[in-house]
This record gives sequence, structure tokens and C-alpha cells, in this order.
Amino acid sequence: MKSKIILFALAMLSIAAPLGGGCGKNPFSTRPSEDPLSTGGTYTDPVSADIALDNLFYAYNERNLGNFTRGLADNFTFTFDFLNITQPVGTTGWEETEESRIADNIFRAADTLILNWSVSQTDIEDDSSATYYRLYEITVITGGSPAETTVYLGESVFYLNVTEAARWVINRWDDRHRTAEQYSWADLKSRYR
Amino acid sequence: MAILVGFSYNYDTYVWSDSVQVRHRFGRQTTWGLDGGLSATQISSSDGIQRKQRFISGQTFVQHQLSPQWSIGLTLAQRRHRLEELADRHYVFSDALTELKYTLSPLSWVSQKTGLSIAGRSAGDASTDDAGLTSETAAQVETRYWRDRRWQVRGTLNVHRLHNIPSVEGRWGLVTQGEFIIGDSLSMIVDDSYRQTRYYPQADNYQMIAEQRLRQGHFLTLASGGWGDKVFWGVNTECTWRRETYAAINDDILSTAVLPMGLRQSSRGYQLKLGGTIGDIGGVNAAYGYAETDEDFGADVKDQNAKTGELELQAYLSPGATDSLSVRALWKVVSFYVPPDSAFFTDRDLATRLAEVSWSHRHSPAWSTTVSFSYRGLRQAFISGLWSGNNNFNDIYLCEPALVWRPMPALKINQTYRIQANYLSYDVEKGQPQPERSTLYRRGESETLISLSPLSHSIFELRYTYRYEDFGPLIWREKWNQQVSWDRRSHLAGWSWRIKPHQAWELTPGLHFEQKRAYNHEEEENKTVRVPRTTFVRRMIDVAVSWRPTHGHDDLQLSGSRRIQRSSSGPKDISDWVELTYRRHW
Repeated sequence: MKSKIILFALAMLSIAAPLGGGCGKNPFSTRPSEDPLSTGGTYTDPVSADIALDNLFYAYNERNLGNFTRGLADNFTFTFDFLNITQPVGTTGWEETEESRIADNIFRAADTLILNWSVSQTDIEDDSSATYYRLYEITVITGGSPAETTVYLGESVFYLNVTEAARWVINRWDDRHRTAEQYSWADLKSRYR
Repeated sequence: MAILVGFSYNYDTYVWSDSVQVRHRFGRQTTWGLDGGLSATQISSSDGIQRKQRFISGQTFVQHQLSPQWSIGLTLAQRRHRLEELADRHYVFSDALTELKYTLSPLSWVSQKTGLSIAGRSAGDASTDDAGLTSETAAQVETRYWRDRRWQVRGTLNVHRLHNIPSVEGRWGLVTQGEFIIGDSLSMIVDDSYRQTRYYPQADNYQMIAEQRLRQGHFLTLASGGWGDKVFWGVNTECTWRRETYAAINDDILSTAVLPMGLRQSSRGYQLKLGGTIGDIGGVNAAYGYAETDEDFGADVKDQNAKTGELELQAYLSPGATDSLSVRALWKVVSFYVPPDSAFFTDRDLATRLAEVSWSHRHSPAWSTTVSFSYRGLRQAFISGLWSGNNNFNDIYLCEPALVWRPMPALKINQTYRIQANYLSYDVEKGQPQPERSTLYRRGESETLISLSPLSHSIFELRYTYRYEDFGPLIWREKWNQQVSWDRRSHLAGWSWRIKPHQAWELTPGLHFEQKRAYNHEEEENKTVRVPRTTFVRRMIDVAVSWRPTHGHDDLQLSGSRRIQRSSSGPKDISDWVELTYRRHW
């Protein structure tokens, strides 16, 4: 009995210690929103792989975080070649939570963001997966006086899967430099990581 | 001794993965070992660029046992990494280390490695060499006492005193686990590490040197117990921490585009569990979890904090040997908070609601039925008016009846139906006559799988699936109504035959066929007309061969596929896949 009490006390202590007195969150309701000032961006229900990729294209151009994150799979990974990446040790990519956070940082920091891309190889599609190759050019203009304009060039390979809900999501995004001198999408993301 | 040979080819990518491991004992006290590995990837792109990566590693070592406690060793190791992409880069790391190890018990020991390290790097025309002394200290102490309670303390300290790129890495951890009385247990795990390392921030330039300092760790407690045999509880808590800072070491100007920003992250959370059993026929479980994360990027306004609350309820009932019922419900809200002074205010909540019911009944030993129903509701809500136009509900309903019929031991028939409806409705479009983004997607599917195994070494499977899908905008007229924009009908058929002509050999040929036809729905003279949109046809043939001799030393897997597909919207496509793996150990 004594051991039980000690165990229970230790367990309670381990709750109280990290939370500084204990707190929780209501799992049933969300916070109230302000009335919308706009219709909220270009987004189509991704019932095919090409629509899912179009959604990502528009989400980036419209800096729309909500539409961007909805297009990523839960097990999403972003990987890149190692050409100019500045992280010191062991960084070869990241996962969905990090990707969303980086996109949020980029969208917040950029005053203007323009993404253009073109097909670089034939798309590969089957019933439940698809692979798209895109050559891209991203122009980012950030504030300040004078404003800073940076162009990012490269090739991205998008691997998409269909979910249980029959929606297409991006589960892997592989980024490659086009030349050694030019910044790629991975460099843009690393800068705002 | 073990050998692994692996090769695969897939569209434009070739992958090789080979390794060898050799161990040999000279008497009872001396062991010699050799480890080698090769990993290579080649990607051929249509832009004409051949992207090749090669990793080669090898090491040989000798260990000699001086006494039951003391041992000495010598290790020679080399790692080569070559990236042949746009700029050819080559890295070579070599180590020569002596080791002295003192073993108090199988779980408690201390070891010290000392030696010389040499590093060479080249990228295009630039190259640099580095050399210095290396010291690696590792220790672990573990005690076990009454009723398997145990304490373990472990630590490592690695110091690489190279001239250009030195590094120091320390790590320590504490684990304690124990069962205090029967059924009750408490575990605590602490892990903390610190690393201070220099690096070249530009891969094609060795002029700039930067330093990263990283501190990270976690503290985890797991407690569980029960009151009698009927009620049990659990309490888990976890804290994590991470701190990164970066600094320029030499006098070159490092712009913010080159040097990462530092950060401070932490998280805290707990989970409470309560459950019980109802006699021998069922049980209930409930769990509540809370977690919060904080970020601090210093002067950069990109911090984002999050809070998560989650409640999960589960119940299961098996009143007899032929029936079972399970119910699961989950409510979860994740709230993201960004600094209110940010120009791009993206505070948002993501809510999930989940309900699942599954019932199965065995009518007879040869016939059983399962019916499952699930609902998943996802809510995305931005707080700012700038983005709240994206607020939406995504409701998915799925009903899946299935039956399994086994009329004779050699024949099994599975029949499954899936009916799904997915409503995506945006708050701002409620009441609009022509919404642009609110949609309804419906799918109905019937799948039949027949397995025939007349002989013990042969299984023949035949599969056919018919699928109907339609999609269109949701229009609000007192309630959401669907207007079909397109529909798609798919036929998927295939067979495979697994044959074992010999105990060691297995051969599995297969053939698959798929046809999809999509139609647009267009209005013509107040009538809806189906206009053909796309047709897609695919044939796929595949063969797999497996060889596993009974002595267990060899394992060979070889598979190949050819896919031929044609779509009305694109050219004919023929693709091949090949994969080979061979393992041998003795």
C-alpha cells in the first residue's frame, strides 16, 4: 500500500512539475473567427493528383498557409540534394510539421512571392500514386529599403498518394538544384527554417 | 560471415546496396573483424543531368581480451562519400583508433578510444585537408535489484581535435524502471546532449567556417497501475527541449542567407488513461492528452506556439463466441498561436472528430459478416479575417460491409462493399447559389477476391473490383445539395498464382488489367448529358521468384514488372521495374 501511494504521488508530481500547476485544453471546440475579408484563395477538392499539385501552386502564389498544409500527407517528407544547404550535420530533409512551419515563415516574411513552373519530365501516374517533375522559378521580394529580390531555380519531384478518403496528397517532395551557383527551393526553405 | 547484394531499377533510378561482414576468432581471446558497405544511387533525368551518389565505408578491427574485465583493440576505418551531380564533391574520412575497455558486468562498462583522424574534402576545384587527435569516451552503469527494478546511467564524450573542423559532443542519460507492486509500475527516462561543432556553410567553398552549438533532450515518465482486476489507470508525461545557436568563426562576412538563425524550442505534455473490464465480455478505455510547444527565434518574428487537447473513448463487447462489437470516438483540437504583432497573422485551429463502429458476426464456421461505419470530421478555422475565408468543414462518411465465405477448405471468397461520401463545405459559401469550392465526392465500390488452393504448394487468386465515383459542387438550398460535374467508372481485374515447385523455390506470376472511363455532365436543352472525358487503360505483368534453401544460409528475391498504359490525354507509356536481393550468412 505504501508503494502504491509513493507511485501515485510521483506520478502526480511528474504532471505538476512540467506544467507549473496543471492545465489542459478543451478538445471539443475551436476559437471564434473574425469575419472573412476575402473568399480565401484558390482551392479545388483534390480528387485527382493534378488538382492536388495545382492547389500547391496556387497556395504558394497566394501565400495561403491553410490551403498549403491541407495538401501535405501526415507522413510527408521533404528531401533535397546537398549542394548549398547550410545546415551543419545530418540534415537531409524534414517532415510535415516542419514543412508547414517553414511555409508559414516564408509567407509571413515575403512581401511578394511568385512561383512559376513547367513540366520537366513526363508525369507518372497510376491508380493510387503519381510522380510529377517540375522545373520552377520562385521570385521572393522582402521588405526593407531597398527591397531585396531573390530568385530560386531548380527542379522538384512531387510524389503523391491517394488517401483513404480518396483525396490526393503530397507525401514526398524531392528538391534538386539546377546549377551549383543558383539557389533552389530548399535554400529558400532553409533560409526561413 | 554475411553478404548482402541488392539492386533495383525503377523508371529513372538505379540503386545498389551491398555489404559484407566477416568475424574470425583466433583462440578464445582474440577477434578479428571486417565490415564493408557500398551504397550507390544514380538518377537519370531528362534534363541530361546524371545525379550519382556513392557511399563506401569499411573498417577492420582486432580485439584482444586481456582478462575477464580488461580488453584492448585497434580499429582502422574509412568512409568515402561522392556526389557526382552539378558540382563533383568528394569526402574521405579516415580514423585509426586504439581502444581500452573495462567491463564490470555485461551491463556496466567503460571504454576509451584514442587515435588519429584525417579528413579530406573537395568540391570542383576547391579542396581542403584536415587532421588531428580523436578521443571517444563511453560509460554505462546499470543495476538491477528487487523485482526487476533497474537503474541505468550512461554517458559519452567525443572530442575530435581537428585543426579546421573540431567538435565536442557529450551525451548522458538516465533510465529507471520498476514494478513497485504487482501490476503497478513507474519508469523515468532522461536524455540530454550537447554538441559544439564547426562546419563549412558552403559546400563548394572552404573559405567560411561556422559553428553550431546544439543542446537537446527529453524527460519522460510512464506510470501505470490498477485497483483490483477490473480498473486500471496510467499517467504519462513528457518534456522536450532544444536550443541551437550559430556563429561565424573566421573573419569572412557570413550573410543571413548562409548562416541559419538560432532557435529555442520546448514542449510539455501529459496523458491520463482510465480503463476497466466488464466481466469477460468487454471493456472500456478513456484517455485525455494535453501538449504545448513554444518556439523562440529571437529577433526573427517567426515564432509559432501550439496547444493540443485530445479525448479518446473506446469500448468493446464480445457477448458470445460469434459476435463482437467495437466503438471508438475521438475529439481533438490543435491551436496554433503566432505573435499578434506579426504582419501575417495566421492563428488557426484544427479540429478532428472521429467515430468508428464495427460489428462482426460468425454465422457458421464457413461464413462470417463484418459491418463497419466510420465518420471523420475535420475543421480548419483561421482566426484572422484575412484568412477566415478558408474556414471549412470536411466530413467523410464510410460504410463497409464485408463477408467471407469458405464453402470448402480449398476455396475462400471475400466480398467487400465500400460506400463513401465526402462533404467539403466552406463557411463563406453557405447560402451562395453558385459556390466555387464546396464539393461533394461520392464513391461506391464492390470488390471480389477468390482464393483457390487445391494443393498445399499452390494458391491461385482472382480479383475483380468495380468502382463508381462522382464529384460536383455542393449547393446550399436549406441544406447542402450535390450537382454532379463528372463521374468515373473503373474496372480492375487481375490474377496471381503462387507456385512452389520445390521446397526452396517459389514462383509468383501475375497479370493485372485496369480500365477507367470518365464523363463530364453537361446541360443541353434542360437535360443532363454525359460527355466522354478521358479513358485510361493499363496492363501490368509481373513475376517474382524466391529461393530459400532449407539450410537457412541463403535468401534470394527477384522480381520484375512491366507496365503498359495508355490514356486518351497522353502518350502510351511503357515502364519496367526490377529488384534483386541476395543474402548469405554462415
